[in-house]
Amino acid sequence: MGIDIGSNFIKLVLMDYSAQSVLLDKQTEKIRKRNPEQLAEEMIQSMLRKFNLKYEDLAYLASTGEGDMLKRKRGHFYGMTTHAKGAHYFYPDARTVVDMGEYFPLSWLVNRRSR
Amino acid sequence: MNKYYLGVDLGSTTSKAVIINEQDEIIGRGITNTRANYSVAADIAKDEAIYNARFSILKKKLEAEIKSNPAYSKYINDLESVFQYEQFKIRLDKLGEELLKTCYTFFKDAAVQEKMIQHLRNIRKAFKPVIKHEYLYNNLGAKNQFFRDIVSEKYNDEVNKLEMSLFEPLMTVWDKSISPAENQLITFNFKELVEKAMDELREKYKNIPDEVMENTSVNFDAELNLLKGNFEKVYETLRVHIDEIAGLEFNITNMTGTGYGRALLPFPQECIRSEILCHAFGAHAVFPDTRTVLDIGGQDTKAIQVDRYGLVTSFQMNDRCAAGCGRYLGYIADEMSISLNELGPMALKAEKEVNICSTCTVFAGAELRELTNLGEKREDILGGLHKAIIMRAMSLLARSGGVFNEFTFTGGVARNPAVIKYLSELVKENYGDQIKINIHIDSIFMGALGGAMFARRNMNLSLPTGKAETA
Repeated sequence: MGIDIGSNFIKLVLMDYSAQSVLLDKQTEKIRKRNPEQLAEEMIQSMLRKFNLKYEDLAYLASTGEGDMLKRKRGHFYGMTTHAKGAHYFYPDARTVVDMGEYFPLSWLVNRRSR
Repeated sequence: MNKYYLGVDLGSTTSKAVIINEQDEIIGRGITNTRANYSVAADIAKDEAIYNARFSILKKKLEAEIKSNPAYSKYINDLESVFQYEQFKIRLDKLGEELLKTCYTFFKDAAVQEKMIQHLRNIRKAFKPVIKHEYLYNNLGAKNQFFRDIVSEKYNDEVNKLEMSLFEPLMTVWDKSISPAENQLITFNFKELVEKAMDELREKYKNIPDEVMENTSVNFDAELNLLKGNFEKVYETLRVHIDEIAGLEFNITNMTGTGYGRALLPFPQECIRSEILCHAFGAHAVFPDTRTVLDIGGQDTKAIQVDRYGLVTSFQMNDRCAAGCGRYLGYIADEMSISLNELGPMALKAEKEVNICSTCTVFAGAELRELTNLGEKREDILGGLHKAIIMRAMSLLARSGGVFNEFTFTGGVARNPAVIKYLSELVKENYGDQIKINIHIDSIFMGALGGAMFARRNMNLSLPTGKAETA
């Protein structure tokens, strides 16, 4: 599972990597005035319920954005790394990634292995 | 017949209206939040000012009674508060209609429509009594008292209690409904509402003993019983006077529009004046020895020098960016999820001022999160933010010519105690202990007051040429 806590939205994706990678489900929530940490936890729980899973069933819970506030996670990654990975997943030939966020527009070059 | 004069200050955040009589005394004040439709905002502020004027005339009529029986004053204040609740109820009905309309157009599926409407009904049922109680017992407290803020806070709370999947649709319905509801101009029947309010108050005082049984001391209980008995005694007298004030006609002889949105007011050209002139004139009227005026509003900060007649000799204004103004504080309050009025008191608790590097409102928001993550206390960060605002204001003051005795602080931000604290410190530090600093309880109305006073004088003023007059 991957979760991206932005300043306006929280984005969540559940993937199955057992045979080949399959995007199982995704969900976005606008934060508005809610507590992002609490909302993120709720989103994780509701997604798990939807697939009849427990937290322990997750092979990896990765966070990005402001996700380091999450208590239960395996690893936290910088936005640049995760955006590059995501872009590479859909468009393996992409060598330039542009991310227009709430605060900063970013652009960077990536190699074949999305580094 | 009495002649009255109206000043309307259409600011970026709030719209203010002031009515004065021929002696330049304020007899009515009205304030509301500025909305998409400026002329509605101006009309509401004006209506509020007229209602308020009726109540202040009521107080004047009863001056002798109030002196002999101070409880009278409480009754009138209560009456005004309940009267506001009666207005609120009507606005809430209008909002309800809008919410239903949105539901029917936004959700295509009939079952979903029905479900959402049921939720909306429950939400309304849950918060209506709470708000009624807050109005009746003056518990609205330090929070913002505009319709939009009150309802949106309660609506938010209720929606948050529901499951997550309902949050987004219900909030979208809200977003689509609040603006049309807010932009309707509702004409209230003063007499009808004030009579309803009287009945409501009568009920309140009848029921008082049951309400306080468990949590108050015997003394307080006795006091309330006294209030209850008194109210029955004054009820008839009040009724007679209320009939009288409800029948009063307010002939506005002349009016002036000012503020950020003044060009959009439906006033003739000669009735529009810049807010710099109005703020200076208003501040000078209240404190006649004023020589320097600082006005911090929603989007701009102005440092103004005036002569002994209250006319502007020089001024400086912030350019381009709203950092350091009221909106900046509003943004920070939103970021911290607290209300704007809690910001100042919180900043007063600061033990030190954290240095804020960002000169931009949005980036300061990001910096705030970063500093919180680094372990800085919220109070200390807020202390730094407030000090930063005053530093900017000080540089404008210096550029406009400095600070001269007396110094008057106006605008919405003058309600913030932390801003006042840092301002007093820095003015003393830079310009000495001799400067008298004036802050009036009505500082937010100064622009509207100045406007009303211009209206009374019907003065034809032109902007100063920019060169400071040598006194």
